[in-house]
Amino acid sequence: MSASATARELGWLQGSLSGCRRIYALLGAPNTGKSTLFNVLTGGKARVGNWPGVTVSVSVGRFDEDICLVDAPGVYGLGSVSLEERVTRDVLLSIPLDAVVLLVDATMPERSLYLIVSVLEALEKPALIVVAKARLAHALGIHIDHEGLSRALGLPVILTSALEGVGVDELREVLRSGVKWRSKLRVDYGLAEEYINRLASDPSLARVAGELHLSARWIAAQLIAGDDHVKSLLESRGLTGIVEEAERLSEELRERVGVEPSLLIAQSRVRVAERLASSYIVRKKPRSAPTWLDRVFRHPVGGPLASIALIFSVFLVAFSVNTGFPLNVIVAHWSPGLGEALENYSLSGLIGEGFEYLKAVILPHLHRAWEAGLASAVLDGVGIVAGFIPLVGTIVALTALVEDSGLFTRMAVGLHPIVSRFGLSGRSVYPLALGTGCNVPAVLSTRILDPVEKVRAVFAIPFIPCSARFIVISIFVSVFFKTPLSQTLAATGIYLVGLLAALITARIVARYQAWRYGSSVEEEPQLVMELPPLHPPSGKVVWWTTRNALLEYLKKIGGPILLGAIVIWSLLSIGPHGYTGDPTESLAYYIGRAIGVIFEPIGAKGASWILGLAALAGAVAKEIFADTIAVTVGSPEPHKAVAMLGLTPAQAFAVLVFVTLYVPCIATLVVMINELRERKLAIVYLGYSTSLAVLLMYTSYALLSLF
Amino acid sequence: MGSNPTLAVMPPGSRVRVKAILAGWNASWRLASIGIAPGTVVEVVSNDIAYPWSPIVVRIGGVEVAIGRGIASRIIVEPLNEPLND
Ligand SMILES: Nc1nc2c(ncn2[C@@H]2O[C@H](COP(=O)(O)OP(=O)(O)OP(=O)(O)O)[C@@H](O)[C@H]2O)c(=O)[nH]1
Ligand SMILES: [Mg+2]
Repeated sequence: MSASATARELGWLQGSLSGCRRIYALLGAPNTGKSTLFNVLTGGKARVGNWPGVTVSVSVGRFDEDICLVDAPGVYGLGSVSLEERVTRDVLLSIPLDAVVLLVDATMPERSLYLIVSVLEALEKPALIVVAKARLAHALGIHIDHEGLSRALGLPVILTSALEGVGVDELREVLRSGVKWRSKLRVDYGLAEEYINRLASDPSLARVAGELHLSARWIAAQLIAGDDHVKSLLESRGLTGIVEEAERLSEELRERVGVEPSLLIAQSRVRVAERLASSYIVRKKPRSAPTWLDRVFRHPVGGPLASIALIFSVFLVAFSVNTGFPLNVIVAHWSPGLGEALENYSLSGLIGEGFEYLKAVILPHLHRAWEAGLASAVLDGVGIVAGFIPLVGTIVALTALVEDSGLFTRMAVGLHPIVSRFGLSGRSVYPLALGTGCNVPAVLSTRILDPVEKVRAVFAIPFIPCSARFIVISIFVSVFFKTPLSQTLAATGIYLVGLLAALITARIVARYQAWRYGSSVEEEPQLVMELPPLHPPSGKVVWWTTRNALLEYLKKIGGPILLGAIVIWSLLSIGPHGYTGDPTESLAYYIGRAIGVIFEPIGAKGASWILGLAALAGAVAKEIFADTIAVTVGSPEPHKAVAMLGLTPAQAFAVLVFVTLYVPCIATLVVMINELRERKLAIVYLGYSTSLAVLLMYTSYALLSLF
Repeated sequence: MGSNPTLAVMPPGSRVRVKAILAGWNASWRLASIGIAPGTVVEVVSNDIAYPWSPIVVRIGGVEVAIGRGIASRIIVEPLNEPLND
């Protein structure tokens, strides 16, 4: 299942490693600080976050031109439970690594040791141990006897604190001059030992192990534990006989000891890690009492409430800073002048003014009608995108603050009881929250979930209103709703409809899976999640995350928006008789009218063709929806343009419901197909989401018309 | 095995040794990889039995882990009578 999806990624990986004098992979449990170290060493850019399992793709960076580093997904072990484990394993097996750099999180060293034991046991490669976050650990009263650990493992151990630059130069120096050390660690498997030895001594297994730079002992242990990935690895190399023998031996062992062999194997490794921990780690004082934040989030009622409050405040701050909304409407309640000022001097307001000014300067110089038309279409399009940058930036920065401090994990636990009713676990909260920024990274981040839950989350995410849809929502709401209260309620209402559609969809998928695959699929996913200690967020980390997300945003939507604006303008300017200045004689009018029929039941007669055209364009990228209306009506300012549609509040709300739900944008659809590896599903999904959107549009219109 | 309590019923502050895990392969492996396997000793940090939806937080080797009640009720444990503050 992993083969086809990672083949392309591995090809890319090998390509980006050309010309490297040395190649190292950073390996560690999730959240140990790999990406932070990677960033500091290479000046590269990988996402950093205090969330177990943030890096779901692989980054490559270098220093000194030819010393190359690979930042692999954080994994708990080398099993094959989650996708990131498989990705990391593929990385280890398929690139010419000189050595692995194994990270220990000094703030929770016990946690890192299990992975280190597994990797050292599995890989026949030189290795080096790096202790990360050493300063922070010191402050927490945790001491690691790094010399003792170094002796026990037979490897050098380097203490670092990447954020403060401690130990980074020393590490660079070691990586430059080459890592040659090999560990002498050995796991004693107790009762399973004789079975493992019998398998490991097979010459053909030893040969394949040598080719893969894996230890025969580890392969044998994985076979006894029933690791499917290792089985198919051997089968693909023609060792079916050994796999069958392993299955027989595994069965024999199970009968003899009455315990799952997989547990026996895992337990033996846990033992070794525990022994290392108790010998070389000292905690001076017992961990300090939980902070008040921990106490609040841990409370059975306080936890869910605090989590919801946190989400709301992130939005409130982000939207107020950028659009003035909803702060402007609240303030306008007491002082209309101040409310307007807030809106005008918000970042988006200022950028909007800038583009108006640009148009006023440029347009008079263009003499032909089509030149001016095209120029203003392009400027409108670019203006909307640009006005949007601060919003995306603030949401990302605020999310990064919450994420880096470790609060996100608390939110996941707090919201687990709620989302678990819909077939999702608390772990899904992270992808869903990311979705409010942009659905694309949200879908990608579902890789942190178990395969079964992942499908539910991937289907749910596109219904979460992303920041692209927020711009449409904010324009419509401020135009068609008059009082501050009704504006706030309408915007919140749309978000709730989106969230509900997402959760119900997850529930439906969960039901389907249970029906299709039987009781082996648990309808209510279980939560097992570690809680990293809370700490004040690091400005550096927040800046990295924000910068990378903004670059990503510009790359992703800059092109499509520009293209969209030009295409729409062309459709509007070309009619059956060539160039036309009247939109109702253009091709766009006919296309829009055909799609616009779905808006007729809500009584949006005059505007339905414009909405239809906008819906078509919005399927490319949702932010084009408002842009299309602006270009079509020919008004430079989206608010004025939208006002010309002349909708009632009920109609406006219904249209927003539709825009929010109808189809995922192209980019989201592409990553969905990639993640699910099923093209057919995309068609089913488009049908489902469009029907749901139309249904809820009519329903909400009917309900609101009662008032 | 009715006499053996599960992790789900252990009060905060208690220390227990894991005796068996009656969960599926995936769940067992996930637990093992964060350090919970038969034989490990964990300390219950919080467990509010009055609220059946809230997860249980345990500490293993200095790390806190939240475990859903469903899975916790499939972890058979043996209470240890050692003092809390060792
Ligand atoms: N104080 C301090 N915090 C650090 C240091 N290095 C990393 N951190 C924090 O540790 C957390 C996790 O860091 P990441 O670099 O994302 O960890 P990772 O190993 O890449 O995590 P995954 O990609 O999820 O596997 C972040 O909150 C960082 O701010 C350090 O040197 N000092
Ligand atoms: Mg990372």
